[in-house]
Amino acid sequence: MPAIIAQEVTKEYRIPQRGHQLGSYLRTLFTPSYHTIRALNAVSFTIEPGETVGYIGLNGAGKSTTVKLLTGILAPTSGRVEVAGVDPHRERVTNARRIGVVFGQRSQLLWDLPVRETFQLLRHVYRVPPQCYQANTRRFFELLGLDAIWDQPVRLLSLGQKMRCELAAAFLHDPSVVYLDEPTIGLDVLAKATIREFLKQISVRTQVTVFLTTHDLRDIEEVCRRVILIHQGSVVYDGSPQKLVQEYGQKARLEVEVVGDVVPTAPPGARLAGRNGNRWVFTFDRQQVRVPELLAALGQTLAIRDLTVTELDLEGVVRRIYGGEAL
Amino acid sequence: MTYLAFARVAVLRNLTYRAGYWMSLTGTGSMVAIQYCLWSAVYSAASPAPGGMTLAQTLTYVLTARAASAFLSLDAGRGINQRVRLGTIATELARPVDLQLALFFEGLGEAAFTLLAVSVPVFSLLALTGLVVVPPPATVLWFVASLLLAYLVMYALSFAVGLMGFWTGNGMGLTDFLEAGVVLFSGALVPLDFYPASLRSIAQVLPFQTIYHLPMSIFAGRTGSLPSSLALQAGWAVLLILAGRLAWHQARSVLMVQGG
Amino acid sequence: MQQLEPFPRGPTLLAHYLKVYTIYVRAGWLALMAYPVDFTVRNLGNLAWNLAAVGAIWLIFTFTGSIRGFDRAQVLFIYAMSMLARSIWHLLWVDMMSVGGYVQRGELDRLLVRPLDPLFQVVAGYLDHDDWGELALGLMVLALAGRSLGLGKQPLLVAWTALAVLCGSLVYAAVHLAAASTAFWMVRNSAVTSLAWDIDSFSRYPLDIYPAVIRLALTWVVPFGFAAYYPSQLVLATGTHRYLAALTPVVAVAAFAGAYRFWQSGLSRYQGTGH
Repeated sequence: MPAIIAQEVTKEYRIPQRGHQLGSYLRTLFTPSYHTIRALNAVSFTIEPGETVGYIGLNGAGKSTTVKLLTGILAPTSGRVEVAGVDPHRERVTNARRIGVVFGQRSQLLWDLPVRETFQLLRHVYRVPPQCYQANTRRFFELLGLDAIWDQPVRLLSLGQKMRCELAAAFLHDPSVVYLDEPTIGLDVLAKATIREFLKQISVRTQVTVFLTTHDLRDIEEVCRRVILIHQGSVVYDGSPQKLVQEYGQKARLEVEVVGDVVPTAPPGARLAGRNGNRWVFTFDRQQVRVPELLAALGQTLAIRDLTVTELDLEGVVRRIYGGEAL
Repeated sequence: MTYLAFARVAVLRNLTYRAGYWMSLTGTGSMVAIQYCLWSAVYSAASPAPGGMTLAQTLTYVLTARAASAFLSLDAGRGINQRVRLGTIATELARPVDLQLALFFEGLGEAAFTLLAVSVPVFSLLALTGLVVVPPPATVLWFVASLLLAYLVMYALSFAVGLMGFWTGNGMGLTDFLEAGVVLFSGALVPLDFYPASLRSIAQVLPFQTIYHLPMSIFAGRTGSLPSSLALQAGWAVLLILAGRLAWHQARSVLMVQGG
Repeated sequence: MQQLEPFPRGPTLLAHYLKVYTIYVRAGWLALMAYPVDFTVRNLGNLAWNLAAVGAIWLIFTFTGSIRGFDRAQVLFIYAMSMLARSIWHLLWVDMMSVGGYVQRGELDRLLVRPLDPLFQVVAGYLDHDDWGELALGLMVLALAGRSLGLGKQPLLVAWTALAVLCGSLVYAAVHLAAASTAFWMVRNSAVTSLAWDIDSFSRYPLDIYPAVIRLALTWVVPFGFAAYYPSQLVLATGTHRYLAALTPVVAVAAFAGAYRFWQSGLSRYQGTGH
């Protein structure tokens, strides 16, 4: 049985329209008018138990709507959602027992109390058997270093420490599916690395399915064997991250400022993408051509005054996949 | 004038923070209704004029007091409490701004807003329906002056007590105590005329009576000498402002010693 | 897949909720005790404030013998019942007023991914810190007024008063839950919640002092009359409305059930299944 099935899932929101003038405001109180926004459009995918899937897209692409549908917070407008054999919305409580969720922006920790109190509470909420609780907390001590902060009040923890606790809290009751919504947002490099290492370990050691949304491509590269890309409510890519990164992620961008008003020609391995003020913009594939080679080729016709090299970020990748070269 | 900026910010915050507005409107409205019903009931059984006050005088006193209560609030003290709680009081004290004056203008913005948006509408309704008997214009002017002095006393008291939180580490409870003192001894709920002689003599030596009892008595036409009432209010205001300044200077010098 | 112990149903489910509730209350109490000075000072302040309010009633009776036929002990008895009902609701369940905040901040989502009723989580997740003075004073005034009414020799009436106070808390809960649930239809519902908060003062005095229209509203629309006044009529010698008084538990349960239905329909609207 697949861990997650989404079949032709569509979600629409009805937004009430209110006038700003008093008259029209009063009118809409009695005869409300709505306009409909389609957040997800016939999205389908199947995720097998034990998979770690990255789910990425621009802000407003439908990422959080998907998470809300899969966790049972929202009901789909049409289509079918099934998590471990149950409809997560209709059987919310049954589903909720088997899943763990981390919302990167919202905490489930007890703010004024030591970390262990949150885990005591969750232990009873999910009815975690004692031996299981012992084993799991020991694992969190080892992999996330929670033993050092176990007795500290949550309000005194750093952002990274809090996120480690959130993560452990989501895994405490041996869920079969864990949803992580932006777990690395706002964290420093070291904290991100700890979290990625934990996710790798847990996916090796257990059969848990992990559904991860993120803005950070490195999360995906290091942790996920599969990535789903969503844009304007539709799936636009579903496959291995290696392939995605090979195709797009290695693209880099070179900007050169030149003396004089010469229109340059693109050197081999690069494309002339446009002009940004008095700077010319090229894109190129790092695996095919290196920066010194490009500069050497460009230097033959141009007098280069200044240059910058930037990697294409996730947003660039998505834009490239969906809207072509938009940079 | 830079201090007016504090007032402006407070007014803007009030306009955007609608919850607070509804709170004071519904709170004031229901308290006025309850007080009206309560006192009408009390008078239906009591002798015609207990404490020498007729029903019309009592209603004028009590309902005007309720309408004004949104305006006469302890927000200055609560503002300091919050700063103590968040730990920003040290920076506030260290700033080269007169904290007492700055908070006064900040509070003035809020007070002006509640006065115009809550107190005046509720009061107008009471006056139009005749529940409150409006005295001759000259008395109204005396009353307005007295009400402004009452605001000053309330502010100065609230500031001084709120600043005590700097030493105790928490001022919320202190302001609640202060509010209890106001409720008991200002005549906010029950006119002081009804108090037993012993309690009344305590109330008369405390500053609280200048907040509600004196202005409301002026408005209800129950005061002999108007100038002496206002002089008493002004005296308390000056005394309490000085006490607040003293506390402020003490707090600052503590801070200097700590090297904050 | 990990095999879970079967999730409880029926009576076991109730036991599970009770167990979880004690854990929540323990956590809430520990959180209060994280700031012991704050807790003490604020509650003393709260006590002082309530003392002043009771003092105002005491003062009124220094120059009048009765208000609409109620003497001092009777008025204070009703007032104390109302204080107790309100403070119990306030201490345990006041956070239901912040449903609007949960919806606006998206915190409700966090509650919906747990295997517990979301409303249970809202009320259990917060133990109030500054209304213990009202509880203490309410108990004291109730005991004193009850003694001068001769209640000590009538254990049945004492039991009824205790039940009535709990029903009164449920009435408070019903009104505030209904008011808070409007958050699912209007983004800013502070006008409604603050109105509910303020009109609860109407429950503190004998309804006889209000005009008929307010009395009717407090009986059939916003049933604050059942928070203290009606049930007190079985205890006090004034004894009007005895039939309504006996109905208090029914009214309280029905009002809460109705409010809960309203909350549920709001919730299903939020989740995108109802309108």
